[in-house]
Amino acid sequence: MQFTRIAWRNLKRNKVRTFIAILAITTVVVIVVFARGLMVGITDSSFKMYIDYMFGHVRITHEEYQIREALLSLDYTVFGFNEAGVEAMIGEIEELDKAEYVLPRIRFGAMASINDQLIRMIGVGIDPAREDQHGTLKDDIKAGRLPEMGNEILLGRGLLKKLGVETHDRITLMFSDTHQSLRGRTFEIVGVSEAGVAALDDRFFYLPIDTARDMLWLEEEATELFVFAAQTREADALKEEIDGLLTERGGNQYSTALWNKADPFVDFYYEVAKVMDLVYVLFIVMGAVVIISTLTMIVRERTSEIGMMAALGLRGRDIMKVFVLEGTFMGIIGSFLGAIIGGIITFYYSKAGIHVEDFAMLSKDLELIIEPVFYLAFNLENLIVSFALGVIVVTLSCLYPAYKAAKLEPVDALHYIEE
Amino acid sequence: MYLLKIAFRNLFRRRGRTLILSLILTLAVVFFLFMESMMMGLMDITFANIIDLETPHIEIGREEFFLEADEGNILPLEETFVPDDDMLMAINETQGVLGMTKVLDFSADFIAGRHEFPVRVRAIDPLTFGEVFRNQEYLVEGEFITGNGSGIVIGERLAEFFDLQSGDFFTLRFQDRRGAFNTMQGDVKGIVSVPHPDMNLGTVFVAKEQATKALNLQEDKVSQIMVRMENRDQALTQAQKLGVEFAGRDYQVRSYRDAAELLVALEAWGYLETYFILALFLLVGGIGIVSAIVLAAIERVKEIGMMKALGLKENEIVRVFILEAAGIGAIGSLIGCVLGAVVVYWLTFYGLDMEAFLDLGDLGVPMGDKLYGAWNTSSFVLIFIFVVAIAIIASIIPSYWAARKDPVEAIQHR
Amino acid sequence: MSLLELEDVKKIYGQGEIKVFALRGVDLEIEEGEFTTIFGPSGSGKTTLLNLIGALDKPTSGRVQLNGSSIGEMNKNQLALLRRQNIGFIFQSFNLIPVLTAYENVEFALKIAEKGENRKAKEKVENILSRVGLGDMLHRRPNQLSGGQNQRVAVARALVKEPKLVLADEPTANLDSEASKEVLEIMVRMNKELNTTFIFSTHDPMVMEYARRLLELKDGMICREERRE
Repeated sequence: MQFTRIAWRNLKRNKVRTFIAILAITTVVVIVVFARGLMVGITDSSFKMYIDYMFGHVRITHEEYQIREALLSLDYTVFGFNEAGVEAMIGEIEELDKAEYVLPRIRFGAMASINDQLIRMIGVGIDPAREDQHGTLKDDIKAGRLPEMGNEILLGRGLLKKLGVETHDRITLMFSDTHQSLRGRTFEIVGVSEAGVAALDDRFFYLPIDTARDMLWLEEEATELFVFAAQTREADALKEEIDGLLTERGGNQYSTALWNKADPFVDFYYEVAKVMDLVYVLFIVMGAVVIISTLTMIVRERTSEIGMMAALGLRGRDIMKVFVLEGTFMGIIGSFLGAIIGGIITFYYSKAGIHVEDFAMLSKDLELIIEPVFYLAFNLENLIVSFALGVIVVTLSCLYPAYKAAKLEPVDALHYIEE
Repeated sequence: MYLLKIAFRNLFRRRGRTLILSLILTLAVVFFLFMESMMMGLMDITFANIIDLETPHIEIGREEFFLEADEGNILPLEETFVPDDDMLMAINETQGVLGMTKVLDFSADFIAGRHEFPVRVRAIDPLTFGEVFRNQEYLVEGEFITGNGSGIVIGERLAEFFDLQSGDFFTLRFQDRRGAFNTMQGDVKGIVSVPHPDMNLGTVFVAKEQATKALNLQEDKVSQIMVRMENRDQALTQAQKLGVEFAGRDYQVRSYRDAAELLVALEAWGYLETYFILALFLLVGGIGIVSAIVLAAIERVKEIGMMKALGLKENEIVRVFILEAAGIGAIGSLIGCVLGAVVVYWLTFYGLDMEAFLDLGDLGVPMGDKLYGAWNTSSFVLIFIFVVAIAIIASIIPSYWAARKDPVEAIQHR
Repeated sequence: MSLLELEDVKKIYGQGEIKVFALRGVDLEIEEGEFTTIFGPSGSGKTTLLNLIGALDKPTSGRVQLNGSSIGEMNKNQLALLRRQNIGFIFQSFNLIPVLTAYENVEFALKIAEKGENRKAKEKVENILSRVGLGDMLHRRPNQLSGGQNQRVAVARALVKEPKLVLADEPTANLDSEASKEVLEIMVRMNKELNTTFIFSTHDPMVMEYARRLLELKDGMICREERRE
């Protein structure tokens, strides 16, 4: 207790010096809070697209389909176990522990001819009842509703514009069925969706899966099954369970893939995230360097005081304690302020988003990027982790100067003359 | 002179402190040099591949054609043109032109077996194509388009998708000039494997004569004139010059950079990111400098007072501290430049094996498995000057703070 | 006109409730070439008086006139210029610049006072250092010299620019008696040879013996004055 009081009062002996040291830690902790918020924010908002629209947490497809996905082949479908239909299979998957729900999809290529211009698009057959209950598709509907039956379709906002049509209009689309014959069918537009991602909004339309099966000559099949777990981080466990089920029920022709395989960019991002963990520590260490140099100077300045303490009978570890405590206090105050300020910043940007176009003036070339907005993730865990990281690294780095203080011989220390 | 001498020697009074605080700046410098080298290397090889394989230094075509192409729409056949002699002459006379070829790009569906896939068909003039492009060098099977006969050359990925080998049968389905569906059939003559994912999958080569016939087009119609230049700088300046010359004639002259807008944006994005992180490093480094000056000023209170007694003005004392800060900056960035040089050298000559890390090809970036950095001496000079300048700026306020110390108090400070 | 004139000089430290009256009204005139000692117990205001004379500080009230100009009306930079040209300081704790050698410390002071190149600088510096008996230790740094040697460098530093006035605040307080004597004798000799005015403070009776004019300070007032030959 005595040492704590000494250390605390020592902090106030040179306020400017203490302030700078604390400022350094505050700054690096703010940087870490911000960077972690950004990284988590990107996973949550940007990669959610892959989960919601492209993959689920785990996607089940035919093995061959996965290899030639870009071809949107209708030859390799999921047809249940022993070709008994996909509904029974979905039922079995939903029985699994980790599985929450399954969304079956049929993806196929289609075209429309508008003013002699051919427009390519991708049709997605969806299960209206399931989508209504679970998926996020219905949240993206900006006008109208989900297609429920017959020749009803839902168009992406960009596609709607390209085709030059409005809701309730009728439109004829062309597509190849499983027998490779080109066919046409007229649909009624019952809704418009907008996911905010051009890749989806400009190319995708949705229709009931039964209609898709009917027009493509498919039976109770689907090209892909999106399986969702309760939480993204359970995806691995879910995949294992599904793999187990597939082996057990003889579904070896099917393969499963985790959502983060949807796009190599996700993998790339995870590699970067791993590197970033190191960078966080590096930044804190840089801040701690300021504390180390401050503390080293303090030890030098107080050499005769240390001698006096030693003469009073304090042991080396007691002296060490005084200095470590002084550094730790700086670490705690700095990290605390950093967590608070960082918290405020991430909270603000979790609501407002970082609009990159604000930086566009920095470079004319950046104008080409279509308004990317990053929403930071604000959560308490981030603040606590960053705070703890700050305190731990600073405390550890105080050990060296404190050790040097403790090692001083009392006689030398008392007779220490500055330079 | 003396102020400089004192500042210089002061640097070595607390060697440990000077070193660790300057190491923060070292980190900033190494980070920057590494990132910049990677970025430039990545961009360099990417642009090199684009120039060699897809869009050379300069391309000339109808504005509308480029508009649709950039949108990813079906390429419009009505926007093809017959280049007149004036135009070809003007291009030929342009400084730095190495070669020129005409191509006719159009959209089609590639059909083989039970599958089809939308592709861009590039109809080429076999005689001049090699003067501009290098696709031919990446042939892995069969032969490239040589004469005017039928047959196509496809990319490796497309061949994999359709399980094709040279000699296999294919069908291309497309709309001709009048909008009628037509097909072109024949054998796959050859397969190329280029370090450009899009070209490997989505582009098919065919002899121009075959294409114009099938499309019902006038014989000399082309969609783009492709020009190869001596180097990229020339490409940019000459593209601009030609652009002015062809203004008002409905043609657009594009450099390789105009054609690869997304890549250019990616490049700018990368730089923005690098500069942002660099700014964070330097912010911490700046605080380190402030701390160095404050600590030194506290230690040297008496000296400051004595210098004032000798008659030094505050400005001169400020100068001593700022010079010291500049020294810390210089030491930090010098070490950074040396370490950076080692890293960049290694990057440039041995390359970074990206395979272990990720398959960049999948990202749609046209480059190989190994990423080579670029060596750019001016980066070293710039970052050195920049970091020293930051150190100086960071030290201004604390230096004034130090010089303000009251001489009377300072001298008597015990 | 005298070199230095003080007229009813008062100096009060601190503000608000706690005020310290360091000087309560000092009148003083010093002519060129004098060798004056200010004597008094610690806390009597010696250092404050020297700081005011040395243009390091301004009086709270009253007038300090040095070489014809009044320091109360000057700004910081003007004070700095006044100091660099007219005044040499010798401190109790030497206060040499630790990173410079003896030679450089002296040359530095000279360079500050005389802007521009001075061909004779080297000669001057070496000359003054040998006069204080350090001719063979020119290139040692302060931490390689003894206390007395340090103080002799300080004397040389104060004298090298040939100032009108040299102020020494307890120059011998950190020295043993042998070294003290040496330093004082050097100062007396310089006073005679160069006709430099010396003012120094002390509470050491031995130092007083060297003075030709003695001022005794007590509670911020001059209480006794004495001239000897």
